Amino acid sequence: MTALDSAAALAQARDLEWLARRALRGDPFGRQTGHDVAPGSEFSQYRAYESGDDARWLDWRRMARNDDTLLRLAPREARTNVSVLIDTSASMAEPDGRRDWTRVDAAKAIAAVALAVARRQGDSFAYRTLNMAAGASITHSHGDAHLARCLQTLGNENCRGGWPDRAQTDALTRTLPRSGLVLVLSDFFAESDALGHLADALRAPAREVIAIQLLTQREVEFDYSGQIEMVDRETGRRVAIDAARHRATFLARFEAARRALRRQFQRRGIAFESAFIHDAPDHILRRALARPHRARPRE
Amino acid sequence: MTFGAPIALAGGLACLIPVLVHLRQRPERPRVAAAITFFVRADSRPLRRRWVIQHLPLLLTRTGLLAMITLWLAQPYIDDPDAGAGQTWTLVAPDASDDAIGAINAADNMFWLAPGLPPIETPRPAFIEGTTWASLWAADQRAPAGAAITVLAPTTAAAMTGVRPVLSREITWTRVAADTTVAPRPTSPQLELVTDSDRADSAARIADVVDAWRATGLDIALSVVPPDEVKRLNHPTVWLSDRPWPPDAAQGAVVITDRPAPDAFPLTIEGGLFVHQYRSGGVRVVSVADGLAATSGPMALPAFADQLLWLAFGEALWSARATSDVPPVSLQPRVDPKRAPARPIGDGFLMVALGLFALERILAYRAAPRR
Repeated sequence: MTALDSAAALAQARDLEWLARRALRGDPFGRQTGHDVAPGSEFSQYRAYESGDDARWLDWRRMARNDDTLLRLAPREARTNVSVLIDTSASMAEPDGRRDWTRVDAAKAIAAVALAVARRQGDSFAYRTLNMAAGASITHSHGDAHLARCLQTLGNENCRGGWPDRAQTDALTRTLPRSGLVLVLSDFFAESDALGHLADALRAPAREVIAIQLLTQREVEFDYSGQIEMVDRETGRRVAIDAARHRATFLARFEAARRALRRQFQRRGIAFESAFIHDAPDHILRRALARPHRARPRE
Repeated sequence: MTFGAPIALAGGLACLIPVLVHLRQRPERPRVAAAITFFVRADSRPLRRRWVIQHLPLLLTRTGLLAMITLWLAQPYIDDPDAGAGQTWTLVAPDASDDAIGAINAADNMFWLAPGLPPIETPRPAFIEGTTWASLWAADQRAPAGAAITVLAPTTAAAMTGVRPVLSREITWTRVAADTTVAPRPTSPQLELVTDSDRADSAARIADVVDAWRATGLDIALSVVPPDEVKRLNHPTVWLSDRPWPPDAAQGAVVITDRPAPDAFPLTIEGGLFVHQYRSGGVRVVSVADGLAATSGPMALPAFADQLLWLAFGEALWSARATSDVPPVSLQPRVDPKRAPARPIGDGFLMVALGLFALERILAYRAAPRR
């Protein structure tokens, strides 16, 4: 069993019904009721037989008794779409520092939990990689086999490259269903324009987008000391700094960037949550989804 | 304080090695891969690399260790030329007779001229061939710089072998009677002069040479033999004949001749004497280019005799016995005042170096990165 299988099992074991609870609050995804014929389904109501209906679902007893040609209808759970966008750029390889756990590991675990819950609810689901390099392309589907396939390919995703450009972002978001939930897992260490373009591309009337920024404790606290040479994981750019001298400046800039990112997403109706990668993945998801349902932004 | 080997002080440059090594191993600016570099701007003020030397105690220990080794190799000593002034060290050869020893006025600082310089009060040490020079050198080093050294020996050059020693002072030689039971008297070295009758001039010169040798105390016999009677070369031979010398020769045989040497052999200068030296069969041939007659070369007799002595006898000369109290010039040790004994302090440096080495190992172990 892989780590992601464990995460998915964790989702099952902890009975993460938060998607359903959000549905009860009127969210546009999760379990939604309707009526349809289904073998062995619980009876809901009758409908007059129409040409082309499957004769197996006729209520033969009633037809024999009253000569009515009625079909037995059963309640159907209308499925929604759950999409996970997972950043696999090189910056996601940032380690936790305290254990063998990187940012992308945390993102994969959160994605696995989300996909497992979606499978349990009968939703269709898939994940996409947010990267300048093409990742695995898995169409939305549902069921255990699809979950296993998703987890397998997700486990093989490696960190490389950088943030996608506009064309790549557009191409990526076009593959997402127009409705449903989109979960974006990233550090969002990218230019403001690129982030804004992603937010615009994700915005759709019937789509809810939740962005989770994954950070390490060291990044938030700038836990460096002495003279160091920082090497950017994506570009290889080297910056020599005196950590003690630079700490205050960095923390101010970093916090300002996070606030701007939150505002940028929220202006476009995207929920934003920030979490440490060492937090439990299901807890991160609970926190992101437990936020009060926000108002739709003005179009 | 002076140094016996001041050139070794150049090794003091080695003291720079640990400093350079430590500077080379100073911590590099750590390189950290990070994602937040996106938010980091280079400092406006340029960073200055601090030349911090790591493990300063270890560096000091290593530098001190090299310094101590350098000083030890430089053989430091404290000069005291007046030390022992008025003293006389008397060295008595082990083959001196009891009567000769008894005739010596009792004095302090009397030793046997034998390995270890045992005091004269101890039993007579065994006579060991070839240890005279070494014992003499040891006495020269042990005696204070101002002390005189007198050697009482039956023969001046007794049992002297090897390289002529370099001593720090003149040695006074006194011949005493020998105890032949201790050291059998060797036979005198012999020079054979093989000459034709028409080479009287050269033969007379050789006779003069032998007389000069004898005048310096060497007891060397000279035998004049006609060429047709020589069947075998048993002794160093001066060959003044057009006839060839016999091929049969004793080991180490030497022939000195005025016959020209084959062209293939280069001319060398031996103490001012132009000679060709080459081997012919088992014989070492010394061809004197200027000839052996008195009129053929500019060399005066004493110098000529001295050089011829070495050419003829070489190491065999050391077994020659003196017949007078005056040591032959060639056997007198050379004197180099720089070799005067002094109080050496190099051992102290060595001990300190050993202590520093132990300390260095401890510090290095502690400084080594743990896996």
